[in-house]
Amino acid sequence: MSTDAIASNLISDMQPPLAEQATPFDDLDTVVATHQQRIFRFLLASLREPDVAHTLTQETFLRAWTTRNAFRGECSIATWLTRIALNLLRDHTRTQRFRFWRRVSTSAVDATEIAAFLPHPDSSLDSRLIASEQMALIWQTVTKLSERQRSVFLLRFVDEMELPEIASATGLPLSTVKSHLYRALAAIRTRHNATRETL
Amino acid sequence: MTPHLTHEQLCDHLLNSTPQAAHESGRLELLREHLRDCSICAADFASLNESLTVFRSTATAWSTREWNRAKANAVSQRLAPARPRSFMPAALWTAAAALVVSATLPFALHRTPPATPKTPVAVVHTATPTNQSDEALLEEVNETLSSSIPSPMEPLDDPTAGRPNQSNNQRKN
Repeated sequence: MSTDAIASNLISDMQPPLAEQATPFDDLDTVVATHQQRIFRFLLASLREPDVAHTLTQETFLRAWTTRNAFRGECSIATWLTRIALNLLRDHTRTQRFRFWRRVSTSAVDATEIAAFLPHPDSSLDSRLIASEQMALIWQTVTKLSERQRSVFLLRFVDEMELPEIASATGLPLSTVKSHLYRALAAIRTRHNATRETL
Repeated sequence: MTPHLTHEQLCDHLLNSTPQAAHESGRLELLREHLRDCSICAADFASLNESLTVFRSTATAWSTREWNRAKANAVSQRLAPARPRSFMPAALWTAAAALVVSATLPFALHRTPPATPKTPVAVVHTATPTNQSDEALLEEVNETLSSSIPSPMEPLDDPTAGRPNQSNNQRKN
């Protein structure tokens, strides 16, 4: 290698790196303000543990910031953040520690407690109790869904995401997303109809 | 079409996803028509839809409450008077040290006697003569007290004492 070639290599090594490409995550405050409550709502509904949901919400935005250069704009920011949150959720729930604490922990909010948040502005006490009981059963049914079914169900019916968005966030084909929703809704309908007949 | 909507058809209408193709759009329109005409399917659909709407409302209300509570906690922690941060750790370390000392002290004391095994032996050796001399002294005192004549006056009690040959000489004379 000639001296000129070595010198040019050294100079190119010493040159400062090119300016990083601007991403929507550069304005992190706006991104956080726009999406953090939605991400938290999804994680809380998935885990039913507020503290863990808060931690994972923060972790979602931290990871979005650290991997912001990988964001190509092929999907919306909401979908990108949801994908990160889903990965964190999966990593968290698959650890042995989480499974152990899930078995013995009392920190997970009970379905009956969640049902207490039922909005009932003008209804009677009886109808409120019936509605609360039905809602608790739906929450219990959602808890018993498989991890993937539950995630898809919550993204659709809590976060109100469109099916193609869910497919993009989960990395599943659209038909698979639909299948998961059919099964989740079948479980809920069965439980729902059974309670209606009982009540 | 069957007399009533299948589960998948009901779900398709419930999901109300944006039709991806023209044939899907036509299929959804047929479902809507059926729901307009069939009161059973319409009631079934309305019930499930209402439950899911309420489910979303509870999830939203719950997460809003938890979110606000976390924010309130964060604000109250920020506004709380500054407390020496090292107090709790220092107290914990002190308690831990006291616990360790109290736990190890009995063992340390328990090990002390084997270290000085000769001390009791020496005490035994010196104690025996002391006890003997004490006993002798006490016996002497006891005899002195029990005697009817005090020892300084004993010569007076026996006038012949100390002069044994004098009486014999008198007898000879």
